[in-house]
Amino acid sequence: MIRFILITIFGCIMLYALTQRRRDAWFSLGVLALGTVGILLTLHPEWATAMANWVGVGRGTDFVLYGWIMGTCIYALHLHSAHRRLEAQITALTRRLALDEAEEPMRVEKD
Amino acid sequence: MRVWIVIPAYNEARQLAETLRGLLTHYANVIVVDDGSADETLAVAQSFPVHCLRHACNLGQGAALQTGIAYALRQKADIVVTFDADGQHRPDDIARLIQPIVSGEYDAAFGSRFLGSAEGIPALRQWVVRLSTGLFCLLHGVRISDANCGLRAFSRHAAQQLNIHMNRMAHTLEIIQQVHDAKLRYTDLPVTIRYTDYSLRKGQKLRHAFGLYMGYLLRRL
Repeated sequence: MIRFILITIFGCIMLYALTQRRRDAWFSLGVLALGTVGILLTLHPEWATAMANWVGVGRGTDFVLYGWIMGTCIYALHLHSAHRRLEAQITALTRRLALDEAEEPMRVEKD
Repeated sequence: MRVWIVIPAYNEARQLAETLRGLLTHYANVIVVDDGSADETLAVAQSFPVHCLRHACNLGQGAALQTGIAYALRQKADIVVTFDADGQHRPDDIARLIQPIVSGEYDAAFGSRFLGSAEGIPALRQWVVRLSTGLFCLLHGVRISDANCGLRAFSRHAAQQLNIHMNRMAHTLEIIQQVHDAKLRYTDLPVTIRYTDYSLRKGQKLRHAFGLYMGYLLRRL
């Protein structure tokens, strides 16, 4: 039962990622790859243990956990970078508006 | 010399009128940049003979300063002064700051509460600001006695070199760094900062002093 639920969730996430491929190809590709890995490991949990032994981590769950942490960190960096770009764009736009719509006083005596 | 004063203001309706009254007796060219205030800050500014700019949303003091400086340069300012809206600064100190720029000795002058005086400053705040300034100078090769003072003066040439990216409070360090990196001639001069209950409540929280420095470092990465 739990496998069915997990695979359904992975499938939904992958479908969403597929719809976003034109907007953000890297995001789409990354989520599709992770979703595929998730489904494979759900169906064959022993593969995680095999890979863990191969890279010398120990247990399969530890291997998945480390992979998850690394993926989350990479995604956080991606989000942070996107946030900074967006902030810079909003700042430029807001500044342009402020400068264009500046109100001068009726009479200004210059020094 | 055309001196333009830039005042970034965010929710300063209560204090702004007094600040502008004091400034306008000395200087005619004042710019108020309302940084998306939720109160009557803009209406207060509009009731005075000052230039009013408004950010459609709140971006932060650094962004407001950059907007004000860009506007001052458009108005052909020879000297640009930054001045806080919360009543901490004294208009009399501006003359001292712009004097070495008028004489051509320096391109930028930073106010320093530690060379001058800080009336009513809590002891802990004083030491935190001193420590964060010392750390900044040590790690960045800058010579300044007060890295967090909002009262500064720039020649037109220096103002043109500024390009503030750090929208929030870390701009105080970014400005000094940019002046230093551009090899402009800069100095710090004594000013008086008056701490009031209002400015302490409204101003930067003490716990943010080191956070400000860490934020500055992270943004530079």
